[in-house]
Amino acid sequence: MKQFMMIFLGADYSTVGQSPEQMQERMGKWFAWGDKMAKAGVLRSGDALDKAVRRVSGPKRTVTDRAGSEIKELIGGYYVVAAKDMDAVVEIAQDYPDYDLNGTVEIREVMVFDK
Amino acid sequence: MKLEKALGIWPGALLPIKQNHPMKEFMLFFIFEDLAALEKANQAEMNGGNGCFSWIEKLEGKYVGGNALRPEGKRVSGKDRVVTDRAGSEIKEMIGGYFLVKAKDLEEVTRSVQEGFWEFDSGATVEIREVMAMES
Repeated sequence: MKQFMMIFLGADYSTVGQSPEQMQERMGKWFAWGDKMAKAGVLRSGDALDKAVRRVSGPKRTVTDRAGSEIKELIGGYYVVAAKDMDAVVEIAQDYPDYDLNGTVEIREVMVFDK
Repeated sequence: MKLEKALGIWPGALLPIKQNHPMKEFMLFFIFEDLAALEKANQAEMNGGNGCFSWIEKLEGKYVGGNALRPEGKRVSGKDRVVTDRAGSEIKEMIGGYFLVKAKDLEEVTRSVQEGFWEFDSGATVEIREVMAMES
């Protein structure tokens, strides 16, 4: 089995005007999706990420802080899953709850080193 | 367990809860300017560069995990779930890999990143994000 990372990209929830009821429903979908993958034995790891963004960049190691609410394609979180191939992960990604908010799942294969 | 943390989170609805242990977890995304820069960095590591290994050694017990990611991939996007291929010289800001590390606070992990990440001189960026955790 290969491993793939699903990186969740989209606007921070605080910027998209969701009522508490809508957020509750959305979180329910996240829970259900994680549960489904766990029960299928394919979930390897995952986290939601705090919206504060710090970047360290370039030869001077310059530090910049940005509010997540300013960033359109904010990394909101990720899951790492086991799957046969990319198409299988595209299938898994159909349950991502935030397509309606214009969210994106980026799918990347984990590189394996023959060491 | 990290799975429970991932499932139990409602961003914004709960304040981060003080944890039993003093360490926080941070995701470090290694971002390259474009595909060429990413491939050059991968080549360097495959040709015996040990930047990655050296930093993992320095981190000791604070290194939780990490992976390099193959450059090609797909995106599934928006209401219509449009699937696009991702690999090409036109793509800017490619995530080449990540570490998951423990640190006391943002300042500590920033210092670690400044001292440890091995591709700053070629223009790469590390994005530091705190993992949202709930008391289990």
